[in-house]
Amino acid sequence: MKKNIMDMNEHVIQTINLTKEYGELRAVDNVSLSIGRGEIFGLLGPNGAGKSTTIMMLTTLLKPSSGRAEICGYDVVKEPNKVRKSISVVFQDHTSDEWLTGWEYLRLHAGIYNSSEARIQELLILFNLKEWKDTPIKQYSSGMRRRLEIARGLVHHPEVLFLDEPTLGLDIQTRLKIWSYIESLSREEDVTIFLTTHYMEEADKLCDRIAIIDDGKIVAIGSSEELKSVLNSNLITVKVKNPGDMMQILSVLGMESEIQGNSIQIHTTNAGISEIYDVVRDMQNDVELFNVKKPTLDDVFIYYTGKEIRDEASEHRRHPLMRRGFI
Amino acid sequence: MEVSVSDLRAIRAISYREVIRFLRAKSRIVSSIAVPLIWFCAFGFGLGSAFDVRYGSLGYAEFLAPGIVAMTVLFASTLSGISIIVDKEFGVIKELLIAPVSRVSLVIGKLIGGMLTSFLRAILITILFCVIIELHVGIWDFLGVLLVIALIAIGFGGFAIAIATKMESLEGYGFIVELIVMPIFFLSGAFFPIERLPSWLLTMVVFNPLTYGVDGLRLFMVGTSSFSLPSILTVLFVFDIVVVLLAAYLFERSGV
Ligand SMILES: Nc1ncnc2c1ncn2[C@@H]1O[C@H](COP(=O)(O)OP(=O)(O)O)[C@@H](O)[C@H]1O
Ligand SMILES: [Mg+2]
Repeated sequence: MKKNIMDMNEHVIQTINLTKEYGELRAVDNVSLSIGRGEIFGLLGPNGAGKSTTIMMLTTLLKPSSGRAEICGYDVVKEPNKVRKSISVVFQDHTSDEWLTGWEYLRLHAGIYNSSEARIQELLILFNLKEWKDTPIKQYSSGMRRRLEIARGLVHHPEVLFLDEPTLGLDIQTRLKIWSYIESLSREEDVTIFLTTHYMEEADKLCDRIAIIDDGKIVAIGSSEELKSVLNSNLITVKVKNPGDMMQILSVLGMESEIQGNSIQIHTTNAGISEIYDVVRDMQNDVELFNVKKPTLDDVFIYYTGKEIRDEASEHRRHPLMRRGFI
Repeated sequence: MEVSVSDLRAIRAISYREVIRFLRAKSRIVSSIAVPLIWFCAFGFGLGSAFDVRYGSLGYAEFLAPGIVAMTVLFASTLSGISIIVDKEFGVIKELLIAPVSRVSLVIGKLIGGMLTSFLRAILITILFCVIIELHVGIWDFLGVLLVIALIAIGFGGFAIAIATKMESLEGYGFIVELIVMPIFFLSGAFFPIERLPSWLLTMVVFNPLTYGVDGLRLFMVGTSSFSLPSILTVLFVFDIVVVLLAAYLFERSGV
């Protein structure tokens, strides 16, 4: 599913020691990133880690306290209008006008950017919203609304698309659907994607590279595979006819193992996997099960931050005024 | 402060959005007609007949009618501020702020949108007056009415936006606006002729821009006024320019 990033040396997004302070609090702390053209880049971190603040600075909505950031070679503070021409943002909370229809909403933004109606049609098809285009957005489901907002972000063919927690609060099926849309637009629209998330699977499945952010600091960066391989710890489960023999061989090799139910479990390094595999291969006929569990992104996250990411989907509440149809 | 083609497009798109927002809220259309009409009936017929107030050759109802149109526009203008705060609260405004257009064009788009919705309200109200009290407003006078409405709407819409940039919540905004808008309305000569006012009150009335809006409407709707047309238009133009620049400056600086 993932693309090979051929052209990594052209940096579409570059930040150097980007920092934002709110009084005493450093919401974003010396963040330095380089993101190549065509990449799907993920900023993964718990609530309050500084993800939205980073996006606000990269998209010219917030002035950095110190440090610099360039988008497509333009400085976000000195050349905001050139940056704005190259980017688009889908914000964490829904920002589409409820009383407009999907078509009117896209028209409005196409009007601002001077995009054609053909482009709107194209996006309605890409995001499967054609048959809903004349329905008021008020009646859209969360997932449809998110798709519409992503479509809105693409009316002017931006070079970089920022997605702030694009699937926050959506159910699993809808989330999967949004992922496939993001993947297909990365393929078909030739756009660099910078997304934030606190969902491990989202970063894992979707992103070419991931930066883990905690308390405003980047603690690790790399592809999902690279991040996991750093842990160098795997859990191997083997089921054999004579567990005693197997454990004896393992202890000769200097490996600790334990019995769990009727199988043997061994924690081992990456190099250890092939050693154990050799042992298991020699016992060929006796082996019923051989399973290697590589570390997950969760493990990586705990390793770097010492804590787990909690899912706080309930944070995504709708404003009471909006529910009452005030606007 | 230069304006580019993309700014003009943004102004058009944003004002269009304001008009649609107005047209989609049915209750808002009804109340925007009902409220001024209630005021007019209560004061124009109630007060007018109780005290038998006359103004030259005009009955009190004819005297009051332009004041009520001005009131409609004044109250409608405060909605521009509400619209900015609501946009801020729901983040809608961020979608506009990431667009490569000047901040001034966002303010102007809101103001023109507010002006167009004021036109819709005021046209309905004026037609009602023509029917109820048999006002005869010719086509040229009606264009004059629209001009004055536009000047009031832009000036006080800008004023509302300037206040809104400083406000975080609707409650706070509502409080401030009531505190300011009511005196502006009552001290504008909408209810009473300003010629016979005591001088301390007259000073306040003369420095109130709405006074000139009411006077202009009165000139075009019933043919009498306290000030000359050139001085009315001059005051309103200057007021509009100052307020719009102030609103744009505050909006730009607020960063949102
Ligand atoms: N306008 C603000 N004023 C003060 N503190 C803020 C403001 N915005 C965000 N913060 C704080 O900055 C930190 C990072 O916030 P944010 O970037 O929204 O995190 P995330 O998007 O990763 O959940 C949080 O501790 C948050 O409380
Ligand atoms: Mg956030």
